Amino acid sequence: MEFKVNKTIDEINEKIKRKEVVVVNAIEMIDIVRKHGCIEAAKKVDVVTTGTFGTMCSSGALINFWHTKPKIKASKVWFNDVEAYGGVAAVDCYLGATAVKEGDPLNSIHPGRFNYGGGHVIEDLIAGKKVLLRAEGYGTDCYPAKEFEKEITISDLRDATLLNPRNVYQNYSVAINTTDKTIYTYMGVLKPNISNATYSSAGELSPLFNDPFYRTIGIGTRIFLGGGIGYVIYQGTQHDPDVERNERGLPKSGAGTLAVAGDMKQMNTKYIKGASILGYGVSLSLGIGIPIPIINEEMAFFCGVSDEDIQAYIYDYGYDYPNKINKTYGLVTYKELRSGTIIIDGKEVPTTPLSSYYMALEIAEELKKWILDGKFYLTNPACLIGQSSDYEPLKYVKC
Amino acid sequence: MIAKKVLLKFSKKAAGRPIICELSRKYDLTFNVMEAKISPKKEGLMILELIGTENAYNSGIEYLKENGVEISSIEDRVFRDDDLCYHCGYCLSVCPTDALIIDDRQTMKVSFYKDKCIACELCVKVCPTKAMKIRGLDGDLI
Ligand code: SF4
Ligand code: SF4
Repeated sequence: MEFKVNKTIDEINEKIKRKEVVVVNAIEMIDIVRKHGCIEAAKKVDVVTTGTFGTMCSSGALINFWHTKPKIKASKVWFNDVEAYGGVAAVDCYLGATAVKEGDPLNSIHPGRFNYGGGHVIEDLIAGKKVLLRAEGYGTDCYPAKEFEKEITISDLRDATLLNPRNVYQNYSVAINTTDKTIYTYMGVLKPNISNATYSSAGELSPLFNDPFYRTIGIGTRIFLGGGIGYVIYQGTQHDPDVERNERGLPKSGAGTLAVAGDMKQMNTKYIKGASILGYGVSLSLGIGIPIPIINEEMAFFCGVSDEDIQAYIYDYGYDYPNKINKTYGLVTYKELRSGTIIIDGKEVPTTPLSSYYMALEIAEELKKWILDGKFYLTNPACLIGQSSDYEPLKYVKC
Repeated sequence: MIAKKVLLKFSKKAAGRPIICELSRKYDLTFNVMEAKISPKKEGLMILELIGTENAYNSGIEYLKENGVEISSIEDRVFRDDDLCYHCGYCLSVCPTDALIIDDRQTMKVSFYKDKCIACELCVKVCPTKAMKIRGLDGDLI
């Protein structure tokens, strides 16, 4: 099958340079495709910007804090009493977003508040605040120091790289609680007897719903990451392209994920915040924006996706999820989820989001501005991430 | 008719007496207890919604003051730091009064209406970025 429209990323970059590029956000694209069809839309539009802003636990900071005097081979490292992993080279360490501050009462008084952890250290560093660095080593001939302690800010760090093993989940479950007690989960507070439902995706704005087969987003894709520039560095952990898909090729559950990295020194706390999830733990709320080059009518079709096309399964987090029972309570669309109520077993259940649609749109708009201003160019992926066996060119396209 | 929410601070002395019952009996006020942390012979706090005519309300408040109860408005007790709020929606499932709500399903912006807030503090515990904050009786952050 041949595409009728064929554009290269180099051509799009030329247009960015000449300030002739046409960029729209993922919501604006819905109407354009509806009105003009995907062939005309592909001719008109060069780039669609997408965004997402949610709690992403699989995140962290790779930090190098310069050699101390005398030098230390830091095997244990703390930032504001949050332990980082020190089992890498002398002054390298990895601070995970979900590491909790030492001495936190955790869930001993349930539900725990989890006031401070790795995500908060990351936010404080980006805010330019002072952070107490503490390190311990066992002492060697080349690295004699056994202890080091100093107040630092991000500008004292040699490298501060956000390095996230799994972000931008393509889709996610809708959570309910069938038990008779309130539960406190990473899907928020779930009230007993299916009294509320939570969901966690920006739906039509979310990057991987606009490129559901990962045809343009790949290794090396330049992205908006926490207010700075970052890159997709690999497929994320748990990347699973072969889950069940609907007639538009959209996965009905988890599916694709991305690993991303970027320089924390460019980031802005408006788009990256430490998170305390009641009864669950600490995490990082992070904004990511990904540009999708409209290289052909298929990408235009995919970027025309709207919330009514996207579905997610409902799962019980009270009993089934903790016990690894794979039973679903139905399939709903994001249009229904966003309306504020869904029907489960004939009963109206209020729905609330956990991922910020509002900020996702703001990020898509910000990225659009960067591209229009010639500050952000697109990249050709060095290699695509794990592909779906369901994909064939134009197989899903209807327009 | 008016309905106002007030925060009452009882001294040790006042806590032992049936002031609230008297309030409704003498002044024709209906009340809802929104929250109470009070026990006999100890200082206590109570959030009440008082419903009645403006006159009844004013005389009721006078009566409380005469009996050594400190009164403050709860309008500003819980507030939101808008720089920290990223409109995620975690707070929406716990807010009992729709003080926190999405009005516009197009933008999905989370609004906070302080006049609907009963200072239950549930959102303060749930908000992941601690955007929802409480001001103590002396105006300090808790
Ligand atoms: S939980 Fe906090 S950050 Fe999220 S919408 Fe509510 S107030 Fe805003
Ligand atoms: S304290 Fe928070 S949860 Fe309680 S009524 Fe006010 S806004 Fe709603």
